[in-house]
Amino acid sequence: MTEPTYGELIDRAGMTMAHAMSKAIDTNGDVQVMALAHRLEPLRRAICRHAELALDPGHSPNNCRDVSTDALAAALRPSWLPGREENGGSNEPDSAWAQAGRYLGAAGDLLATHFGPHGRHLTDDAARLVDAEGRRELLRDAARFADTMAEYAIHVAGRVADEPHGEGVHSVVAAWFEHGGDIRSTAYAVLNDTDAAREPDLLGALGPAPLLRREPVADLEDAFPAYNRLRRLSHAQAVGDIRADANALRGFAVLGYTITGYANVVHAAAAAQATALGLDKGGCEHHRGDADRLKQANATWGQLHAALACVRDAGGGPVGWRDDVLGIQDQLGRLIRQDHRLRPPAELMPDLVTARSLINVIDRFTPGLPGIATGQRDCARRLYRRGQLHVPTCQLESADIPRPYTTIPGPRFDEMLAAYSAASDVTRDALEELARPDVRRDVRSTDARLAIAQPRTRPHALAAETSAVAR
Amino acid sequence: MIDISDLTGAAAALEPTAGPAIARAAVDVACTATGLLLGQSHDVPLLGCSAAVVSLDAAYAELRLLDDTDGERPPLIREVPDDAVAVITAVLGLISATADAVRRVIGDAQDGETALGCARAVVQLEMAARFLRDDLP
Repeated sequence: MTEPTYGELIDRAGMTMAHAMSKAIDTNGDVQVMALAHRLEPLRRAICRHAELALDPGHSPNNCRDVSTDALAAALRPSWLPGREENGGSNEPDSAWAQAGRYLGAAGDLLATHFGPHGRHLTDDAARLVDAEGRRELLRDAARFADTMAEYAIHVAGRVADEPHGEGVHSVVAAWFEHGGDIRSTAYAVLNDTDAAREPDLLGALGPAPLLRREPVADLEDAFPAYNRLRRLSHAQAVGDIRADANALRGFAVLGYTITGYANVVHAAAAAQATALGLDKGGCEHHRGDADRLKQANATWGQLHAALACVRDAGGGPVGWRDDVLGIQDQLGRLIRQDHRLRPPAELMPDLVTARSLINVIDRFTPGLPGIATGQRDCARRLYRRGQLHVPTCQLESADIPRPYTTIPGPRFDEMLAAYSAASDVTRDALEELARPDVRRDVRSTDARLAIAQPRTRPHALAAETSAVAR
Repeated sequence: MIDISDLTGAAAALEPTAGPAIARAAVDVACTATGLLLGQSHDVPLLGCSAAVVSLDAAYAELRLLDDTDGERPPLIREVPDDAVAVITAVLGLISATADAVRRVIGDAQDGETALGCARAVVQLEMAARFLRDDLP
């Protein structure tokens, strides 16, 4: 898959915006007008970010600010929505307006990959961005989008002003008149700058910075073979080639709990990092949703283990699995700080790059878990049919059985089977959301690159991701 | 539901003449209580507990090899209190007392096999304690 260039993303943003503008405008009711306002808002924010990027693309401490750039960014900053709705209104992520905003945000993200966290130039191309011509090109792009959007908004506002609408709607479109006028005049100043006539194309062919090589986050060369051995063992037990026992059932439940637990921790850390860095709302929610789904999966494995906690059998099954499970637990534990309970998730990882790297590592363990759950459920059924699953008689309500252990009662076994099904189903559902191979490649690649960009440009960081997800 | 005092009581019962069967029952209690914690809802996964149950299971298996008698019956545990810190602390006390008891068995052991099995059990108990401490604030 070829990586997009800055010019391609800008073109896509422009085409998507043109497509949005070509649609019929529905202003028949207050709801329709407010929905349109909400659709335009993400694009306004994206254009504003682009103008701010032109202000100081390299986050330079000695940045020489440009008056026209300042003016355009300032004109774009005020929200077009009433204050109380600014953060609560729907962004309608599927609308063409929002999509245009994402393309524009992704274009800014792409440029940001060429700088380090403190403005250090990571590539030779970074010099083109901080160069006056490069910044002017950025500014002209922002001005073109701003002018078009403001023209559209003023057109809609003029139409709505003549229609019978509520007071709230009229106050919103009044703001469009005011802000739209400011935006158009500042954009006009930029676009009619005499230097702009030369229109050099410095940035169009610029791609994202190559991924920087970092030290591997952990040596997992023992963990993956151990995991593969466990998966083979689970399969062999499921088909009856190797004897299963209650201890191994618990061991596999612990394995599922451990892997989903660590996956939940690193996804939660990534979500916290994304929030702390002020990344796009959609991007933060994406990370947080992943963490929540994994937490649910983790809870089902914990409940499965609890259902198995009192179950005993005569033993005699393979015992080597314990070393493998402990080895995996140990190595995954080293991936993140052992004192993870002592620190909030945002501090758990030094940065989003590390969090994403850990996610990439731990995500390699998760796909096998639903299969393990169903395989172990088959093992449990076989053991139950053979009368090989026991519980202490003192734990039963009618504990007048003379023996210390007795076969597990049917209702308790049904609870166990339900716990297996829940672990399998919930984990599979979580993984389906997490996997999406068609988009995750882009997500990981973009995410890792963006996280190395300077904090000020990070608000763009997950635009490409959410764009990819939306596609 | 088991009470915290049941866990501390189980630890006290290990003094001073406990043999492998009683130690095994104590490990059974510790393992079950820790395992049941995993089934509860917590803010963060109890990853230390998940590692500990494997070690406790291994310690139980080592001790079972030493004594084929039924030994002590484990108390009724189908639930543990919601206070994970209190349960883990109590389990840590129980594990510590169990390890001491098993060490005494090593001192009294008449054969190398028993001593070796007990030593392996102690190692697993120590590992379990280390893992459990990871989950304590």
